[in-house]
Amino acid sequence: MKVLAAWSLWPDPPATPGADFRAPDLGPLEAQYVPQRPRRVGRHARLTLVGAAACVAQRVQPIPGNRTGIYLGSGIGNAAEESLVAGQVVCMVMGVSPGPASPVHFANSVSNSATFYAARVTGATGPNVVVSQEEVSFEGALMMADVALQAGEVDCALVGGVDECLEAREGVFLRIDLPADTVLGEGSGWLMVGRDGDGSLGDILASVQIPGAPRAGRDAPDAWAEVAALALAARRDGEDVTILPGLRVDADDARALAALVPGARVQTYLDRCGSFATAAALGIAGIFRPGVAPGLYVHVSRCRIGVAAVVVRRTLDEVRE
Amino acid sequence: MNPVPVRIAGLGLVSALGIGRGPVAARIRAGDIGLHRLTSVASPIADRVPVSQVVELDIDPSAPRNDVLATEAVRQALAEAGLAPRGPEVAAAALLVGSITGDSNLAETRYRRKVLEQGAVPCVTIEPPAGRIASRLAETLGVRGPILTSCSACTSSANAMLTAVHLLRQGRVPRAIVVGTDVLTATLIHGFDSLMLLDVGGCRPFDRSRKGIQVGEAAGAVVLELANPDDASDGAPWLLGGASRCDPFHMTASSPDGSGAEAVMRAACAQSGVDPADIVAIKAHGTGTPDNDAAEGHALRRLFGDAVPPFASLKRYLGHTMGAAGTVELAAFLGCLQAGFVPACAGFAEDDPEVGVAPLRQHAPFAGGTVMLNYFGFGGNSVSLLVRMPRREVRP
Repeated sequence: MKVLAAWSLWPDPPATPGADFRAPDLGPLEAQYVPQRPRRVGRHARLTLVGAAACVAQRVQPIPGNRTGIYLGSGIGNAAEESLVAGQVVCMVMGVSPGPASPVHFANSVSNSATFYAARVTGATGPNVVVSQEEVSFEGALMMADVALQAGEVDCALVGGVDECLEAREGVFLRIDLPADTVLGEGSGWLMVGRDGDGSLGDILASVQIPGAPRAGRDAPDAWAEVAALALAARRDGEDVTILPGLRVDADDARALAALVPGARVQTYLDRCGSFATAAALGIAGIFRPGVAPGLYVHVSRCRIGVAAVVVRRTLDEVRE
Repeated sequence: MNPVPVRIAGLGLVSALGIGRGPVAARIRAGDIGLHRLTSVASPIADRVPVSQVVELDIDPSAPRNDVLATEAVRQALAEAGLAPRGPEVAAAALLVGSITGDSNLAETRYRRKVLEQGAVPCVTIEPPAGRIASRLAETLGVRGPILTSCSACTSSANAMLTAVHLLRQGRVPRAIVVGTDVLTATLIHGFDSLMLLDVGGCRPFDRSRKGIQVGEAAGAVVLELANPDDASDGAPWLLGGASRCDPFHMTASSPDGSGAEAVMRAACAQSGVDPADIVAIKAHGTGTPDNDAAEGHALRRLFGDAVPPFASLKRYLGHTMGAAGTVELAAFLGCLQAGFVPACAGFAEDDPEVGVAPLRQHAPFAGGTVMLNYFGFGGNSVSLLVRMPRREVRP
């Protein structure tokens, strides 16, 4: 897959060390990219809309509307609005609060409401899919986009990873398996990909799930060997290789993998965005931010179903903001 | 050249109308309806709004209800395909799940307990989303291929089937297991009630007096593998392909003129190499809401003109099973076709000039050929699939 455009919204560093990372005020970005923002949509949808619209805006050429699909990965989905509606309903059923659930909130709590609005804003009317496969949801969305591109179902795909940091941290920990003292984060990372295209920024060379090895630590030699083989097969002579350790890939894991790819260096990014289910979207879209060197990048993350690896080449020396 | 067809090697079905597509088809033929009093969810409207609840499985209320339904549907599908859980063929397969409710029934129970203890505190106890179902199923079955969960409203498992078709044709996996599963929750029932989209008498798809949907729960599973296009003796149904589109007209309604639904049906025919004139029957989405059915009727007229093939909605038999509808309605519809009939559109009695076309009033004999299955959902999601059924002798 060719990477035709990329955009990522990174959270601000927390004012207090150890606090969670939160995305900046979305207002200015919405004014720039989504002037017709739908009313009464929640933060998950706003993060999605800004990301999808900004990604499209990075490219001069218009997208082929009905040949463009939207594939959104989200680990916890629209949890804030789902919780709100579920709470309203259960309290009403129990007779402890009056009134029906808000119909607007119910409609907007549906898993794909954010991508519906993204389709309206961007004009992408091909397949519109939300992938929620725990902590490899963004990688899953990338895989679905890849198979749709290869099948000729679409010519272009907007692939995003969006998760919000809930005010109630316990709501996040019910949904993803992380230690309770984990610094959480949020963000919206997007790639526009196609089979071909002028002025591409780079390539997604492989996106695979490797089953097994669900625990962190040096217990995954087979998985790391498989990832290393992908990297070595893709590497050009003299090309720099950077390992990007994602969620639940600790320092030992990263070193074990890097040791299998001669000359590879490890570059962390979760310390700049916090942990969240689709942090991989920031790690991978971030490869195409200004100032990042060309080369081969190998992103790895892990959840209970195994390891997800994405091999990416950035080809352009520089990209515009 | 037409794309390589995909063989439907096994099907499983758990529904309010029964367990297994054979028994369900027999009940549809008999005119039975899967409407029951709601007991799996506490609700003040349980006495006045019947639902399509699964009643033939004894399910522990503290269990992840979707897992129970999905596991039984997968068991049937694997058995028909001649595959054993944890066997090498299953290990090499992809597992794709379509669901929107995940573990929501557990979340509601947990929150309810919290409210009893602490009063109406804010709700943050939402359980893991649908992806956790796939993770657990993969572990139980020993699947080591790609695992994906699609959460795209009522097209979730239909979209999952399309992705499975691509994975097979691209040689990424030798077979795929696709599961659609969704359960009744208080949020779902009262959410649709708040939208005034529940028909308290059960849904009446395409009928002039239709008022809304009939919520339901079910699981359907399908085992897919590449077919040998030269094997004329293959008695299995072949999934020829399909298409997925977004009709961005409105969050809860498709384009009233039917253009959105028409676009996905045309795309499905084009991508599957099927001439619309060769389609012999259609499983409509047919929710029973005034807007959906009118739009779908207009779309059928736009595509087929005055020669709309016999069509029916299965929603009154099975309920609207949300993201599970893709595999659930595939299994039930194919069950009927394999039993030799295109089912009548239960709940339909009176033509609606606003719809412009009328579904089947009575079961019609089926002799094989290409059929279309439509799925539409909130957020403009639209999927159309095409299946070729082997020719069969029609008995009088």
